[in-house]
Amino acid sequence: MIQYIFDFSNLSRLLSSFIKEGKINPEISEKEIKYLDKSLKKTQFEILIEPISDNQQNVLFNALRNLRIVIIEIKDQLKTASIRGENPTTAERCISLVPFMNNLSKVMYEFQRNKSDMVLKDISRNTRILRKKAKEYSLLTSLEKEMSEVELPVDEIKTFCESLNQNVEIVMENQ
Amino acid sequence: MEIVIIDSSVLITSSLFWECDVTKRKVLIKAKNIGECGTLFNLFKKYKEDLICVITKTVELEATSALESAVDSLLQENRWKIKDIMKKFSYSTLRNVMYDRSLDRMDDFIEEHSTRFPLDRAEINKIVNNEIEPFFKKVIPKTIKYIPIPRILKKMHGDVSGKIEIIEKIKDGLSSDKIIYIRGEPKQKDKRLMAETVYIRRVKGKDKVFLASFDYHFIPNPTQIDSFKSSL
Repeated sequence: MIQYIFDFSNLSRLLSSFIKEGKINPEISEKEIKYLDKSLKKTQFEILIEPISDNQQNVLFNALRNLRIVIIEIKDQLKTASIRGENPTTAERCISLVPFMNNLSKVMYEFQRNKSDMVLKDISRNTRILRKKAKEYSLLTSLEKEMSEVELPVDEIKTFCESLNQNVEIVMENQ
Repeated sequence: MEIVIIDSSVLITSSLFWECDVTKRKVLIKAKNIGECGTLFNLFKKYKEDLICVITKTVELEATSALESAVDSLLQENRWKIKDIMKKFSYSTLRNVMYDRSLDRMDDFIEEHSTRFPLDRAEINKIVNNEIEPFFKKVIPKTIKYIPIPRILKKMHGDVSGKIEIIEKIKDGLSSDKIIYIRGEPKQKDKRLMAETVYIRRVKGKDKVFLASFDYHFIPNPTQIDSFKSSL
Protein backbone atom coordinates (compact mmCIF):
# COMPACT_ATOMS: atom_id res chain seq x y z
CA MET A 1 0.00 0.00 0.00
CA ILE A 2 1.24 3.50 -0.83
CA GLN A 3 2.29 5.57 2.19
CA TYR A 4 1.17 9.17 1.87
CA ILE A 5 2.68 10.67 5.00
CA PHE A 6 5.74 12.84 4.51
CA ASP A 7 7.81 14.24 7.35
CA PHE A 8 9.03 17.79 6.93
CA SER A 9 10.10 18.18 10.58
CA ASN A 10 13.81 17.67 9.82
CA LEU A 11 13.65 20.36 7.17
CA SER A 12 11.86 22.63 9.63
CA ARG A 13 14.52 22.02 12.31
CA LEU A 14 17.31 22.76 9.83
CA LEU A 15 15.73 26.01 8.71
CA SER A 16 15.18 27.05 12.36
CA SER A 17 18.84 26.40 13.11
CA PHE A 18 19.88 28.55 10.12
CA ILE A 19 17.72 31.38 11.43
CA LYS A 20 19.02 31.01 15.01
CA GLU A 21 22.68 30.91 13.91
CA GLY A 22 22.13 33.69 11.38
CA LYS A 23 23.84 31.57 8.73
CA ILE A 24 22.68 29.11 6.03
CA ASN A 25 24.53 25.85 5.41
CA PRO A 26 23.23 24.83 1.96
CA GLU A 27 25.08 21.47 1.91
CA ILE A 28 23.12 20.10 4.87
CA SER A 29 19.75 21.31 3.55
CA GLU A 30 20.56 19.94 0.07
CA LYS A 31 21.11 16.46 1.53
CA GLU A 32 17.79 16.54 3.44
CA ILE A 33 15.84 17.90 0.47
CA LYS A 34 17.32 15.37 -1.98
CA TYR A 35 16.15 12.61 0.36
CA LEU A 36 12.62 14.11 0.58
CA ASP A 37 12.44 14.65 -3.18
CA LYS A 38 13.45 11.04 -3.87
CA SER A 39 10.70 9.80 -1.55
CA LEU A 40 8.03 12.07 -3.07
CA LYS A 41 9.02 11.16 -6.64
CA LYS A 42 8.92 7.44 -5.83
CA THR A 43 5.35 7.91 -4.56
CA GLN A 44 4.41 9.78 -7.75
CA PHE A 45 5.42 6.74 -9.79
CA GLU A 46 3.58 4.39 -7.42
CA ILE A 47 0.40 6.43 -7.85
CA LEU A 48 0.61 6.10 -11.64
CA ILE A 49 0.34 2.30 -11.41
CA GLU A 50 -2.08 2.19 -8.45
CA PRO A 51 -5.58 0.90 -9.33
CA ILE A 52 -7.40 4.12 -8.48
CA SER A 53 -9.61 6.37 -10.60
CA ASP A 54 -8.12 8.87 -13.08
CA ASN A 55 -9.37 11.74 -10.95
CA GLN A 56 -7.79 10.37 -7.74
CA GLN A 57 -4.54 9.71 -9.57
CA ASN A 58 -4.52 13.21 -11.04
CA VAL A 59 -5.16 14.98 -7.72
CA LEU A 60 -2.60 12.94 -5.75
CA PHE A 61 0.05 13.20 -8.49
CA ASN A 62 -0.39 16.97 -8.65
CA ALA A 63 -0.21 17.34 -4.86
CA LEU A 64 3.11 15.47 -4.82
CA ARG A 65 4.36 17.41 -7.83
CA ASN A 66 3.70 20.72 -6.09
CA LEU A 67 5.36 19.53 -2.86
CA ARG A 68 8.43 18.58 -4.91
CA ILE A 69 8.68 21.83 -6.85
CA VAL A 70 8.41 23.78 -3.60
CA ILE A 71 11.18 21.86 -1.81
CA ILE A 72 13.43 22.00 -4.88
CA GLU A 73 12.94 25.76 -5.07
CA ILE A 74 13.77 25.97 -1.34
CA LYS A 75 16.99 24.02 -2.00
CA ASP A 76 17.97 26.26 -4.94
CA GLN A 77 17.28 29.49 -3.09
CA LEU A 78 19.16 28.39 0.04
CA LYS A 79 22.13 27.56 -2.20
CA THR A 80 22.32 31.07 -3.61
CA ALA A 81 21.18 32.96 -0.50
CA SER A 82 24.65 34.18 0.48
CA ILE A 83 25.39 35.35 -3.10
CA ARG A 84 22.18 37.37 -3.02
CA GLY A 85 22.99 38.69 0.44
CA GLU A 86 19.83 37.11 1.84
CA ASN A 87 21.22 35.20 4.82
CA PRO A 88 19.14 34.16 6.76
CA THR A 89 16.00 35.91 5.42
CA THR A 90 15.71 33.18 2.76
CA ALA A 91 15.47 30.60 5.54
CA GLU A 92 12.73 32.71 7.17
CA ARG A 93 10.72 32.71 3.98
CA CYS A 94 11.22 28.96 3.52
CA ILE A 95 10.17 28.04 7.05
CA SER A 96 6.90 30.00 6.56
CA LEU A 97 5.94 27.48 3.91
CA VAL A 98 6.48 24.34 6.03
CA PRO A 99 3.04 24.47 7.81
CA PHE A 100 1.30 24.45 4.41
CA MET A 101 3.40 21.50 3.28
CA ASN A 102 2.46 19.72 6.54
CA ASN A 103 -1.25 20.49 6.00
CA LEU A 104 -1.15 18.99 2.52
CA SER A 105 0.72 15.94 3.76
CA LYS A 106 -1.89 15.47 6.52
CA VAL A 107 -4.86 15.45 4.13
CA MET A 108 -3.03 13.06 1.82
CA TYR A 109 -2.52 10.75 4.82
CA GLU A 110 -6.26 11.08 5.55
CA PHE A 111 -6.87 9.76 2.00
CA GLN A 112 -5.17 6.48 3.00
CA ARG A 113 -8.08 5.59 5.28
CA ASN A 114 -10.86 7.65 3.72
CA LYS A 115 -10.88 7.70 -0.06
CA SER A 116 -13.91 9.98 -0.31
CA ASP A 117 -14.52 12.81 -2.79
CA MET A 118 -14.52 15.26 0.10
CA VAL A 119 -10.95 14.31 1.11
CA LEU A 120 -9.89 14.49 -2.53
CA LYS A 121 -11.35 18.01 -2.79
CA ASP A 122 -9.46 18.88 0.38
CA ILE A 123 -6.22 17.68 -1.20
CA SER A 124 -6.89 19.86 -4.29
CA ARG A 125 -7.71 22.83 -2.11
CA ASN A 126 -4.56 22.45 0.00
CA THR A 127 -2.45 22.02 -3.15
CA ARG A 128 -3.76 25.38 -4.41
CA ILE A 129 -3.11 27.01 -1.03
CA LEU A 130 0.48 25.69 -0.99
CA ARG A 131 1.03 27.05 -4.48
CA LYS A 132 -0.44 30.47 -3.64
CA LYS A 133 1.66 30.72 -0.50
CA ALA A 134 4.77 29.67 -2.43
CA LYS A 135 4.09 32.56 -4.82
CA GLU A 136 3.54 34.94 -1.89
CA TYR A 137 6.92 34.01 -0.39
CA SER A 138 8.64 34.13 -3.80
CA LEU A 139 9.18 30.38 -3.68
CA LEU A 140 7.14 29.41 -6.73
CA THR A 141 9.42 27.92 -9.33
CA SER A 142 9.57 29.10 -12.96
CA LEU A 143 7.47 27.55 -15.71
CA GLU A 144 10.65 26.29 -17.38
CA LYS A 145 11.68 24.43 -14.22
CA GLU A 146 8.17 22.93 -13.92
CA MET A 147 8.37 21.75 -17.52
CA SER A 148 11.84 20.23 -17.08
CA GLU A 149 10.32 16.87 -16.09
CA VAL A 150 8.19 16.74 -19.24
CA GLU A 151 10.38 14.54 -21.41
CA LEU A 152 8.38 14.72 -24.61
CA PRO A 153 9.18 16.00 -28.11
CA VAL A 154 8.17 19.66 -28.56
CA ASP A 155 5.60 18.76 -31.23
CA GLU A 156 3.83 16.37 -28.86
CA ILE A 157 3.76 19.08 -26.19
CA LYS A 158 2.28 21.56 -28.68
CA THR A 159 -0.39 19.07 -29.80
CA PHE A 160 -1.32 18.32 -26.19
CA CYS A 161 -1.59 22.03 -25.39
CA GLU A 162 -3.74 22.63 -28.46
CA SER A 163 -6.06 19.85 -27.22
CA LEU A 164 -6.59 21.84 -24.02
CA ASN A 165 -7.67 24.88 -26.04
CA GLN A 166 -10.12 22.77 -28.04
CA ASN A 167 -11.48 21.03 -24.93
CA VAL A 168 -12.10 24.40 -23.26
CA GLU A 169 -14.07 25.56 -26.32
CA ILE A 170 -16.17 22.39 -26.24
CA VAL A 171 -16.79 22.68 -22.49
CA MET A 172 -17.80 26.37 -22.83
CA GLU A 173 -20.18 25.48 -25.67
CA ASN A 174 -21.78 22.76 -23.56
CA GLN A 175 -22.22 24.95 -20.48
CA MET B 1 -17.86 55.34 -13.16
CA GLU B 2 -18.92 52.34 -15.25
CA ILE B 3 -19.03 48.69 -14.31
CA VAL B 4 -18.17 45.73 -16.55
CA ILE B 5 -19.21 42.30 -15.32
CA ILE B 6 -16.97 39.54 -16.66
CA ASP B 7 -18.48 36.25 -17.77
CA SER B 8 -16.73 32.89 -17.28
CA SER B 9 -16.02 32.64 -21.04
CA VAL B 10 -13.89 35.81 -20.85
CA LEU B 11 -12.17 34.77 -17.61
CA ILE B 12 -11.19 31.33 -18.85
CA THR B 13 -10.03 32.68 -22.24
CA SER B 14 -7.78 35.19 -20.43
CA SER B 15 -6.25 32.36 -18.38
CA LEU B 16 -5.18 30.32 -21.39
CA PHE B 17 -2.12 32.29 -22.42
CA TRP B 18 1.41 31.37 -21.51
CA GLU B 19 4.65 30.47 -23.20
CA CYS B 20 7.84 28.74 -22.23
CA ASP B 21 11.09 27.52 -23.75
CA VAL B 22 11.32 23.77 -24.16
CA THR B 23 14.73 22.64 -25.41
CA LYS B 24 15.26 26.12 -26.92
CA ARG B 25 11.95 26.07 -28.82
CA LYS B 26 8.98 28.16 -27.76
CA VAL B 27 5.76 26.47 -26.75
CA LEU B 28 2.88 28.91 -26.74
CA ILE B 29 -0.62 28.30 -25.38
CA LYS B 30 -3.06 30.84 -26.68
CA ALA B 31 -6.85 30.65 -26.55
CA LYS B 32 -8.95 31.93 -29.43
CA ASN B 33 -10.15 35.52 -28.72
CA ILE B 34 -7.23 36.16 -26.33
CA GLY B 35 -6.59 39.44 -28.19
CA GLU B 36 -10.00 40.83 -27.30
CA CYS B 37 -9.52 39.83 -23.65
CA GLY B 38 -6.15 41.55 -23.63
CA THR B 39 -7.72 44.75 -24.98
CA LEU B 40 -10.42 44.65 -22.30
CA PHE B 41 -8.03 44.10 -19.42
CA ASN B 42 -5.74 46.86 -20.70
CA LEU B 43 -8.73 49.20 -20.53
CA PHE B 44 -9.27 48.24 -16.89
CA LYS B 45 -5.62 49.05 -16.19
CA LYS B 46 -5.73 52.34 -18.05
CA TYR B 47 -9.03 53.62 -16.66
CA LYS B 48 -8.77 52.29 -13.11
CA GLU B 49 -10.84 55.10 -11.57
CA ASP B 50 -13.60 55.13 -14.18
CA LEU B 51 -13.98 51.53 -15.27
CA ILE B 52 -14.58 48.84 -12.65
CA CYS B 53 -14.28 45.13 -13.39
CA VAL B 54 -16.60 42.84 -11.44
CA ILE B 55 -16.03 39.09 -11.31
CA THR B 56 -18.65 37.37 -9.16
CA LYS B 57 -18.05 34.18 -7.19
CA THR B 58 -20.48 32.38 -9.55
CA VAL B 59 -18.30 33.26 -12.53
CA GLU B 60 -15.08 32.31 -10.75
CA LEU B 61 -16.43 28.87 -9.79
CA GLU B 62 -17.80 28.23 -13.30
CA ALA B 63 -14.50 29.13 -14.95
CA THR B 64 -12.55 26.85 -12.56
CA SER B 65 -15.02 24.02 -13.15
CA ALA B 66 -14.80 24.46 -16.95
CA LEU B 67 -11.01 24.32 -16.80
CA GLU B 68 -11.13 21.15 -14.65
CA SER B 69 -13.50 19.46 -17.12
CA ALA B 70 -11.30 20.48 -20.06
CA VAL B 71 -8.15 19.11 -18.40
CA ASP B 72 -9.76 15.90 -17.08
CA SER B 73 -10.28 14.34 -20.49
CA LEU B 74 -6.78 15.16 -21.82
CA LEU B 75 -5.03 11.97 -20.73
CA GLN B 76 -7.95 9.80 -21.90
CA GLU B 77 -7.79 11.35 -25.36
CA ASN B 78 -4.05 10.76 -25.54
CA ARG B 79 -4.06 7.29 -24.00
CA TRP B 80 -2.87 5.72 -27.27
CA LYS B 81 0.38 7.72 -27.05
CA ILE B 82 1.13 6.67 -23.46
CA LYS B 83 3.04 3.42 -23.96
CA ASP B 84 5.08 3.27 -20.76
CA ILE B 85 5.34 4.64 -17.25
CA MET B 86 7.90 7.32 -18.18
CA LYS B 87 5.59 8.72 -20.87
CA LYS B 88 2.68 8.60 -18.45
CA PHE B 89 4.76 10.55 -15.92
CA SER B 90 5.59 13.20 -18.54
CA TYR B 91 2.01 13.54 -19.78
CA SER B 92 0.64 13.68 -16.22
CA THR B 93 3.18 16.37 -15.33
CA LEU B 94 2.34 18.36 -18.47
CA ARG B 95 -1.39 18.18 -17.80
CA ASN B 96 -0.93 19.36 -14.22
CA VAL B 97 1.46 22.17 -15.18
CA MET B 98 -1.11 23.46 -17.73
CA TYR B 99 -3.90 23.25 -15.17
CA ASP B 100 -1.94 24.93 -12.36
CA ARG B 101 -0.53 27.69 -14.56
CA SER B 102 -3.97 28.50 -16.03
CA LEU B 103 -5.46 28.69 -12.53
CA ASP B 104 -2.53 30.86 -11.38
CA ARG B 105 -3.23 33.27 -14.23
CA MET B 106 -6.95 33.29 -13.44
CA ASP B 107 -6.20 34.11 -9.79
CA ASP B 108 -3.88 36.91 -10.90
CA PHE B 109 -6.58 38.46 -13.08
CA ILE B 110 -9.13 38.29 -10.31
CA GLU B 111 -6.74 39.82 -7.79
CA GLU B 112 -5.29 42.52 -10.04
CA HIS B 113 -8.33 43.70 -11.93
CA SER B 114 -11.55 42.86 -10.19
CA THR B 115 -13.76 44.11 -7.43
CA ARG B 116 -16.27 42.05 -5.53
CA PHE B 117 -19.61 43.75 -5.69
CA PRO B 118 -21.81 43.17 -2.63
CA LEU B 119 -24.67 40.95 -3.77
CA ASP B 120 -27.91 40.24 -1.96
CA ARG B 121 -28.29 36.49 -2.60
CA ALA B 122 -31.93 36.38 -1.52
CA GLU B 123 -32.75 39.23 -3.92
CA ILE B 124 -30.90 37.53 -6.77
CA ASN B 125 -32.77 34.25 -6.18
CA LYS B 126 -36.00 36.27 -6.36
CA ILE B 127 -34.95 37.81 -9.69
CA VAL B 128 -34.13 34.34 -11.11
CA ASN B 129 -37.43 32.80 -9.92
CA ASN B 130 -39.80 35.74 -10.42
CA GLU B 131 -38.38 37.47 -13.48
CA ILE B 132 -35.80 35.51 -15.50
CA GLU B 133 -37.48 32.06 -15.43
CA PRO B 134 -40.98 33.40 -16.26
CA PHE B 135 -39.45 35.44 -19.09
CA PHE B 136 -37.92 32.36 -20.66
CA LYS B 137 -41.04 30.27 -20.11
CA LYS B 138 -43.60 32.74 -21.48
CA VAL B 139 -41.98 35.02 -24.02
CA ILE B 140 -39.22 32.98 -25.60
CA PRO B 141 -41.14 30.01 -27.08
CA LYS B 142 -43.11 32.49 -29.21
CA THR B 143 -40.07 34.13 -30.69
CA ILE B 144 -37.04 31.92 -30.21
CA LYS B 145 -36.22 28.42 -31.31
CA TYR B 146 -33.37 26.53 -29.68
CA ILE B 147 -31.17 24.36 -31.82
CA PRO B 148 -28.78 22.22 -29.80
CA ILE B 149 -25.37 21.88 -31.46
CA PRO B 150 -25.21 18.47 -33.13
CA ARG B 151 -22.57 16.33 -31.39
CA ILE B 152 -20.84 15.75 -34.71
CA LEU B 153 -20.03 19.48 -34.99
CA LYS B 154 -18.21 19.44 -31.65
CA LYS B 155 -15.88 16.69 -32.80
CA MET B 156 -15.08 18.16 -36.21
CA HIS B 157 -11.91 19.94 -35.14
CA GLY B 158 -10.47 21.98 -37.99
CA ASP B 159 -12.98 20.71 -40.58
CA VAL B 160 -14.47 24.13 -41.30
CA SER B 161 -16.08 23.36 -44.67
CA GLY B 162 -17.73 20.25 -43.23
CA LYS B 163 -19.18 22.26 -40.36
CA ILE B 164 -20.46 24.95 -42.75
CA GLU B 165 -22.22 22.31 -44.85
CA ILE B 166 -24.06 20.96 -41.82
CA ILE B 167 -24.99 24.45 -40.61
CA GLU B 168 -26.43 25.36 -44.05
CA LYS B 169 -28.63 22.27 -43.91
CA ILE B 170 -29.87 23.24 -40.42
CA LYS B 171 -30.53 26.80 -41.56
CA ASP B 172 -32.62 25.66 -44.55
CA GLY B 173 -34.91 23.80 -42.16
CA LEU B 174 -35.62 26.84 -39.96
CA SER B 175 -38.27 29.50 -40.46
CA SER B 176 -36.83 32.96 -40.97
CA ASP B 177 -39.15 34.88 -38.61
CA LYS B 178 -37.66 33.47 -35.42
CA ILE B 179 -34.61 34.44 -33.40
CA ILE B 180 -32.44 31.40 -33.17
CA TYR B 181 -30.12 30.26 -30.41
CA ILE B 182 -27.81 27.84 -32.16
CA ARG B 183 -26.13 26.91 -28.91
CA GLY B 184 -29.22 25.82 -27.01
CA GLU B 185 -31.29 27.24 -24.20
CA PRO B 186 -29.50 29.35 -21.56
CA LYS B 187 -28.60 27.15 -18.59
CA GLN B 188 -29.07 27.81 -14.90
CA LYS B 189 -25.67 29.43 -14.50
CA ASP B 190 -26.42 31.85 -17.41
CA LYS B 191 -29.74 32.78 -15.77
CA ARG B 192 -27.94 33.36 -12.46
CA LEU B 193 -25.44 35.69 -14.11
CA MET B 194 -28.30 37.51 -15.85
CA ALA B 195 -29.97 37.96 -12.44
CA GLU B 196 -26.71 39.24 -10.89
CA THR B 197 -26.35 41.72 -13.76
CA VAL B 198 -29.95 42.88 -13.38
CA TYR B 199 -29.39 43.35 -9.64
CA ILE B 200 -26.20 45.38 -10.11
CA ARG B 201 -27.89 47.49 -12.80
CA ARG B 202 -30.74 48.28 -10.42
CA VAL B 203 -28.27 49.38 -7.75
CA LYS B 204 -25.86 51.29 -9.98
CA GLY B 205 -28.02 52.41 -12.91
CA LYS B 206 -28.90 50.76 -16.23
CA ASP B 207 -26.55 52.94 -18.30
CA LYS B 208 -23.57 52.26 -16.09
CA VAL B 209 -23.39 48.45 -16.10
CA PHE B 210 -22.23 46.16 -18.94
CA LEU B 211 -21.62 42.46 -19.38
CA ALA B 212 -18.53 41.15 -21.23
CA SER B 213 -19.00 37.69 -22.67
CA PHE B 214 -18.22 35.43 -25.63
CA ASP B 215 -21.37 33.45 -24.82
CA TYR B 216 -24.14 33.97 -27.38
CA HIS B 217 -26.83 33.45 -24.74
CA PHE B 218 -26.35 37.06 -23.78
CA ILE B 219 -26.50 38.55 -27.30
CA PRO B 220 -29.32 36.85 -29.24
CA ASN B 221 -30.00 38.20 -32.71
CA PRO B 222 -31.64 36.94 -35.90
CA THR B 223 -28.31 36.25 -37.55
CA GLN B 224 -27.03 33.81 -34.91
CA ILE B 225 -26.27 31.09 -37.43
CA ASP B 226 -24.17 33.35 -39.59
CA SER B 227 -22.37 34.65 -36.51
CA PHE B 228 -21.57 31.08 -35.53
CA LYS B 229 -20.39 30.32 -39.05
CA SER B 230 -18.07 33.28 -39.14
CA SER B 231 -16.50 32.17 -35.88
CA LEU B 232 -15.26 28.90 -37.45
